[in-house]
Amino acid sequence: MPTLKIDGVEITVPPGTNLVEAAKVAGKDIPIFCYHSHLSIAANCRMCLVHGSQNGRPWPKAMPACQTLVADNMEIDTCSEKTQAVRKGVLEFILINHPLDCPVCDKSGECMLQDNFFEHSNRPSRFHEYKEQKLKTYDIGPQIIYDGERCINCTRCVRFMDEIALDNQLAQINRGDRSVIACAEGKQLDHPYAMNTVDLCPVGALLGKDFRFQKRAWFLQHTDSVCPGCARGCNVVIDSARLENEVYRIKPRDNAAVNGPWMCDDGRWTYHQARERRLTQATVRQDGEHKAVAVDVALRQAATLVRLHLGKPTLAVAVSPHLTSEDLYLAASLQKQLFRASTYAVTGHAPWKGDNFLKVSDRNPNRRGAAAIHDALGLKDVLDGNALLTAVESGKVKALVLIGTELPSADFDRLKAAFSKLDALVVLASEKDAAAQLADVAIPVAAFTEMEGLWVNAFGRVQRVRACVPPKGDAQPAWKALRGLARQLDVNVRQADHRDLVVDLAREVPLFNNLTHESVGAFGVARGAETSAPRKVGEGKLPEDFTLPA
Amino acid sequence: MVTETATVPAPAPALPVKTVRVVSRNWGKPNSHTLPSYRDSGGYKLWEKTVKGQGLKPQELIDTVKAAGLRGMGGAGFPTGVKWGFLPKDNPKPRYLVVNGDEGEPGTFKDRYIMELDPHMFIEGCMLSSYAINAHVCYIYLRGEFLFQVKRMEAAIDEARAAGLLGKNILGSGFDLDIHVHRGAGAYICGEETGLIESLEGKKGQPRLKPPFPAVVGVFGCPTIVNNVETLTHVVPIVEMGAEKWKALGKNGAPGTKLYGISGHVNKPGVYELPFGSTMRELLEFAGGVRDGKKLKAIVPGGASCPLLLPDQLDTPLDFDSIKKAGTMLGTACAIVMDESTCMVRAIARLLKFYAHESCGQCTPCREGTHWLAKMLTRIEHGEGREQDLTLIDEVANNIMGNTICALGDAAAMPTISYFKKFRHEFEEHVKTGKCRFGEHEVAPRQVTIGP
Ligand SMILES: Cc1cc2nc3c(=O)[nH]c(=O)nc-3n(C[C@H](O)[C@H](O)[C@H](O)COP(=O)(O)O)c2cc1C
Ligand code: SF4
Ligand code: SF4
Ligand code: FES
Repeated sequence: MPTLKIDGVEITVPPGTNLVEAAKVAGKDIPIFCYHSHLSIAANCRMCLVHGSQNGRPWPKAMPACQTLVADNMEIDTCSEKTQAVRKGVLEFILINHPLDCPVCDKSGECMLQDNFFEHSNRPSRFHEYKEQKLKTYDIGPQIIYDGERCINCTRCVRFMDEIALDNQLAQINRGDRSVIACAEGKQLDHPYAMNTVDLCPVGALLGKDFRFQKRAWFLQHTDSVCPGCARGCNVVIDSARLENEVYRIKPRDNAAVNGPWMCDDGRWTYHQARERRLTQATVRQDGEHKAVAVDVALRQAATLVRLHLGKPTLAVAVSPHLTSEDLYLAASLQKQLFRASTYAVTGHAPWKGDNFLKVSDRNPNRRGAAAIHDALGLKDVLDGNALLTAVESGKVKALVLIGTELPSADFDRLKAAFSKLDALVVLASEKDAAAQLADVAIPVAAFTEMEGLWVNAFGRVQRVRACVPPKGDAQPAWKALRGLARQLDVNVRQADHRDLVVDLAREVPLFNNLTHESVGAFGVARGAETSAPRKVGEGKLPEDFTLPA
Repeated sequence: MVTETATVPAPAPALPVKTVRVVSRNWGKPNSHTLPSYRDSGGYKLWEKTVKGQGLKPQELIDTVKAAGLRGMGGAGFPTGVKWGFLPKDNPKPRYLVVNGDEGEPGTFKDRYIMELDPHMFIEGCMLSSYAINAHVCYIYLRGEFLFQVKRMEAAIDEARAAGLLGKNILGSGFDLDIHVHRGAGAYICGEETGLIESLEGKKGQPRLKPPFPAVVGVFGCPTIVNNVETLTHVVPIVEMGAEKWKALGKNGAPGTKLYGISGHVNKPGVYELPFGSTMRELLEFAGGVRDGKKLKAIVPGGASCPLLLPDQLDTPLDFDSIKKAGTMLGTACAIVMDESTCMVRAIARLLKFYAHESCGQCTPCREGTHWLAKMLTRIEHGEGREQDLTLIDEVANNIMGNTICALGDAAAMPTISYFKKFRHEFEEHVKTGKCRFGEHEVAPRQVTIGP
């Protein structure tokens, strides 16, 4: 393993390590723009140029740290005046044609150009010429706006599309300081993973329309959580505004075992369901009208409706695979001790078409968790959402308790017809969806941005969902609402708080044995041997008809 | 067979006695570009012998070229035989020979005459070189503006193919070779060897990062040798007369002969084949001296990217090492002569406009810096210079120098630094007086580019 010195600090790192990564080992920071650990090396921004020497002989010129690999007897200087002078020159060049419109740029506050400039130059520009004018607010795709004047031509976006998305939608066109990023004529940046280019863009040149002009970056707080969009459970950061308790954005969080630093665009929009169309008040139906009531009143009404059916063939209880494992554990325990419903089901959204990158076909983040809990607690004959709807449609079921309302069908008319066969429909819902609108009693529960708990992804990895904002209105975590319902039915739930639930879950369900929220941590714990790492650069295929001229 | 005549008359008849006609020996003969004419002077005998295995073996060819001390004529002067030796021995992929006929360097016009006046000697050079490195496909990359040369090369290749000198199982030897002409789109950067390779692959011509060098990973990811047109043409006389005899043609320690171009303020601009190592003074004499009896001001010795040579350095031998000692470069060995009527500020401003326009836009210092220099120098020339600009010119150029992916950045910075250093008083005068003593020029309109 090569041993080298970085600013006098001796380190030994594996061969093939580049100097940017090696510097991190030595506790040094080399500024970068175009380098990204998950993309090929372009070495075009020249921000990372450093001086150094080999075997005591100084390099004839500064070398790009991202492209240069470690070697024995190498010495690098990351902060001498000589290296700093090169950096100042590069930053000055990058800024001469830059529009300096930080006050109206959404990247401001989380921009690598701002950061690198203030840290490594902070020198007034000496440029006295006119600036080049380029494409501004160019509609490059359905979700994305491009600004050619802010673009520093680092080609991170181009490389992502070429190497990771494997769809060459972007290219750098024109030459010299007229260079801009563009799509082929008549084409758009509309790949289902296109928003990753926005995360990658070191400046405000690619911006998501969804977040644009919504919030200044410095008002955001960041919570590590998991995407609810599908059963891969991509690790994400949820950005919410501190003062108004509102979620503004979801971005991927690097977890090599799950999603790498990427996520799909659909996953990013899931926060809208937690922000808009929310059920914030309990409702009961009186004379065909929905009336907003206190949660206690609604729970009492629900108990009245359900009590008649407890332990009878007419009762069905269904849980959603979007609930936390703690919620599911409590629901399953109550099924055994209280509901004893003859029909017990796990609902969930109908599958979508997965892809060969991140999306898996199951759109529900915790189906594996639900199955593990039901197995461990000995619940038999658990139906799926479609079988439940068929049972309801057959008229056999008279009372239905829906804990979480993600159903395989969102067809309002179909659900209305089915639910009209019921005498009682009690739902615990976070959204004003079809089920909540058709319910006799609807009790608001937390959305995924408001709940703490564990999910198990399609590959058996236990991951932690975290609350980044408090539940909206009267909503509360589903397990609390369930406990309230149980009390109204004269059953005292043993677990006093969430922590007790986790302890019991960990004790009684083998998949969760010995786990706590802390031990699951931000990156999750793999249970079982399945792996699901996403593809890396170079793992894409050449077109099959490619033969070398010979 | 193409019957058009070359757009520029052959310089041959006007040449004084001291020239050595080796690679230009057929220039000026009637129909020198046709196969019969080339055959008349003994052409393709070498190839026939070699391909049948009766001549030098591949490794012997490489050794001969090495021994002759042939160096790249495309600008960098890298020893050709050494470059060929870099091909990996154990790589099972096919190998390619790529000929750099982009000839984009301002002031350079030697390769085009080879292709116009004696395409077959060039083709024979490609054949011998392909045989030496065991390549079965050879690409000749020509710049987009070389329409006439493309046609002429294609016609010559067709002739050679029809005569069985190219194709499958050449003359029953079992050796396959084909040559393809690829026309670029007129970008200077496609002369840089890796930019050329990208362009040849059908991509945007942007230089690649090195290492790996083309000899290891080149066209289509396969080992590739990139050589200049003139470099490969010299291979024919080297193999013909042997390394020692060829070397002895040179002067002042340099081996063989060289095509020198000369243009600008001279009486007889053109291409002259002289012993390699001839001095600048000799070349200037061949070109009939400075035009209109004016005084010499400066010479760019080898294409626009080289630093200046001053009148007191005229006795510098024009070979790679001697000229380096004089503080400049041989480059393409095509000199541009400037007389006393030249405004050096205007000259460098015009030059930077070229580099700024041709920068591929990949790396920051060149993409932004060349334009900055071009705008600043143009402003100074138009009398709007500021005192600060006089320190800025050097600093901006030095911030480009050595910090870019390919040598285009250096090619823009080097002359800037040189012109400014050697003619600083002219820059100062422009700034101080706000005027150019060499006359007013039209102010270029401001360029704005909007739209993808
Ligand atoms: C900006 C730039 C432009 C170049 N243009 C040419 C050219 O037009 N023709 C050429 O032969 N070499 C050109 N070169 C040099 C090539 O990169 C390369 O060194 C050469 O083709 C190698 O051939 P040689 O070893 O036979 O000289 C250029 C280099 C640079 C950096
Ligand atoms: S749009 Fe952003 S990521 Fe793409 S090249 Fe420009 S600065 Fe880089
Ligand atoms: S130096 Fe100029 S031409 Fe060469 S890669 Fe960089 S931007 Fe392109
Ligand atoms: S980060 Fe190394 S050149 Fe851009």
